[in-house]
Amino acid sequence: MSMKPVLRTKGPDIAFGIVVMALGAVSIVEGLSIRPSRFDPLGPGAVPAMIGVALCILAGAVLLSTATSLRIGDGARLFTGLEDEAGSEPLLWQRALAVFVTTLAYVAVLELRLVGYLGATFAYTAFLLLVLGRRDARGTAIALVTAAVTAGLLDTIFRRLLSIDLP
Amino acid sequence: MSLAEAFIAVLQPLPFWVLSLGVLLGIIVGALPGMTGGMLMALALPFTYYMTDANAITLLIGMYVGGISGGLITATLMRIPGEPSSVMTTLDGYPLARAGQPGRALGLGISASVVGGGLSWIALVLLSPPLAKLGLQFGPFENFALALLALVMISSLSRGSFVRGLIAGLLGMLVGVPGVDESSGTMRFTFGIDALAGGFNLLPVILGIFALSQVFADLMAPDKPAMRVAADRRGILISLRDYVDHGWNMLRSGLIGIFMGIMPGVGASIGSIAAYTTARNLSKTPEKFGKGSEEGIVASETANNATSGGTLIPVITLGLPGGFTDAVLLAALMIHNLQPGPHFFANNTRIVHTIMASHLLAHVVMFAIMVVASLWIVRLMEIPKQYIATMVLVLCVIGAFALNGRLFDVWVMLAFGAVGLALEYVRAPLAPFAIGLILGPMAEGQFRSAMMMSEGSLAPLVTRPISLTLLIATLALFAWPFWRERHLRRAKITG
Repeated sequence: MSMKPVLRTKGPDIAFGIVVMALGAVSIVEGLSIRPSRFDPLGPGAVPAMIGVALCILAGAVLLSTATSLRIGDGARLFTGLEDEAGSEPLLWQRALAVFVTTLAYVAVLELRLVGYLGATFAYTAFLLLVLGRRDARGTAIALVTAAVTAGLLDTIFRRLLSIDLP
Repeated sequence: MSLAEAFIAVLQPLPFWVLSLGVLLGIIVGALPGMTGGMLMALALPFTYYMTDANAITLLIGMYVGGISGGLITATLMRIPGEPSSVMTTLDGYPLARAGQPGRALGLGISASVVGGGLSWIALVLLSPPLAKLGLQFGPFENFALALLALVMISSLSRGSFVRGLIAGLLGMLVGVPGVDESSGTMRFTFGIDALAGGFNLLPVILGIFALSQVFADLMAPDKPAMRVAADRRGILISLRDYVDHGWNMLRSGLIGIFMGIMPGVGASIGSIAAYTTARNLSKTPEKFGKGSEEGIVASETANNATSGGTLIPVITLGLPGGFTDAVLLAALMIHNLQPGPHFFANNTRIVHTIMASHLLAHVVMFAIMVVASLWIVRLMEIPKQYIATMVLVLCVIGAFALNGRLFDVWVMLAFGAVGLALEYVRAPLAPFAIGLILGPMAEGQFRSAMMMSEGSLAPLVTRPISLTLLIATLALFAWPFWRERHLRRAKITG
C-alpha cells in the first residue's frame, strides 16, 4: 500500500508570519516605551526594539514568500543531505496532544497541591503508560510497577538526597 | 592546573566514575532513536547543580562523546540511526552486518570513532591556545560583531530556511530580554508578571525547547517495527592492518569532521555526510558504497566523532556555541558561575584543561564500553517508545522545578515545549534559537558597552580591523542565500 505525501498548506506559514510580526511589534512598542538612562545612550529598550524591527522585516519576508510562492532566503544550503523530508505518513497529532494536556493537568495538580508529588507522579506516569502502551493485564502490571518505582525513586533522590522541597 | 594534572584529576575515582557514567548514558541515549546526547545533557543539567564545576563538565563531556558515538550501534544493527549524525553509517553498516559481518561492521565504526575523537582532541589542544590569544584582543565591538556572525552563520548553515533560522535566532535573543536590565536596573518586558523579574531561567527554556518538543515530535511519529540483525562480537576488534589500510580515509575524514565542527551550525551530521561523500568520490571502489563498504562506515564514523573536538574549540576560546549541545555546555558553565567568552580560556585554565582531558578519556572509555556492551545496549531498543517518552517528561518536570523550587519554571518549560514544537512544524531550525538564547544577553551587553565607549558612534565597527573582518563575513553570509536564489532563478530562466 503506497501512501500519498502529506501536503503542507499555507495556513501554518501565514500564522507563523503573523505571530512573529505581532511579537516584533510588541517588542518595538515596549522597547520604545522604556526611557534611556543618562549614561547609556541606547538604554535598555533599544536592543529589544531593534530585534522587533528585524522580526517584523523577516516576518514580512515569510508572508511574502508564502503568498507569492517565491523562495526568499531558502537558497543557503551549502551542504545537502539534511533537507527536511516530505512527510509520507500522517502524524499522530492526537497522541501528542493527549500527552501534552495530561502533562498540563499534572502540573496543575502539583500547583494546586491537590495531591503531593509522589501521588501525582505515580498517577501521571501510570496514566501515560496505560494510555500510550499495552492495556492488557501484563501491560497494566508493568505500567503500575514502573510508575511506582519512578515516583518513589525521584521523590527519594530529590527530596531526601538533594533536599529539595517538592510540592 | 596543567593538562597533565587535569588528566590525573579526571582519572581519580569519582571523576572517572562520573565520566564513565556519562559516556555509558550517552551511548545508550545515542543509540535510542528519538533521543539525542544533547537532550540527555539538558536533562542532566539540574543534577549538575549539586556537583563541582569540574565533575559537572566531565559528566557532560562524557555524555556528549557517548551520544555522538552510540548512534552507530542501532545504525549498524537495525538500520535506525540513533543520532542524526549516524545516518550515513546506516547506508553501509547495515548491509555489512546483514552480509554476515555484524561484529566487523561495529568494530570498524567503533575504531573509526575513537580515531576521529583522537584527531579532534589533537586539534582541540593545538588550535585552542592561538585562537584564545586572538580572542583576548577582542573588545566590545569585536565581541558584538562575533555574536552577530555566529547568529547569521548558524542560520545560514543549519537545516531549514535561512530567514526562518534568523527568526528563530532573534526569538531566542528576545527570550533573554525580560527581567531587570543589568546595566540600568530597569525592569523591562515583564508585563506585570512578578515571576519574570529575574527573567526566564535558561534551564526550563532549554528543557522545553529541546527535550520536551523532541518528545512530542517523537510521539507524533508513527510507530515502526524495528528489525535487528542477529549479531555476535566476532571481528569487533579490528587489526592493526585495518588501521593502516583505512589510515588515509580516517585522517581525511577526521580533518573534514574537525573543520565542520569548528564552523557554527554545521555539526556532526553534515560533517559525516561531507566525509562520506568525499570518501566515495575518491574511492577506487565507489560502486561498493551503499552496499556494505568499509570505507563508508569509516568515513562517516571518523567524521562525526571528529566534530566533537572541533566544536569545542570556539566554545572554550570565544564562548561561541556551534549548536544545541554546545549551548547546553555553556549553560552548565554559566550555572557554575563561569562566564564563557574570549577571556574564558585565560581565566579558567583548570576547567579548559578538564574539558580537554575529559574529551580524550571519554573516547577511550567509549571504546571499551562499545566493544564490551554494544550487543547488550542494542537490546534496550526493545523498550517501548512510550516508556522513554514518559520518563523524559517526568524528568523534565522535576528538573525544571528543582532549579528554584517553583512551579512557574515548569509552566515556562511547558510553554517553550509548545514553542519548540511550533517552530519545528513551520520548519524553523532550533539551533539558531539556542545560539540566540545564549549569545543574546552577551551581544546586547557588548553592543551597549561599545556604544557607551564610542559615545553612540557605530564607526569603530568598521574602523577596527577585527570587527570589520567579522562584519564583512557576516554581510557575505547574509547576502549568500539571496544571491544564490537570484543565480538559481536566472539559471532556470536561461534553461
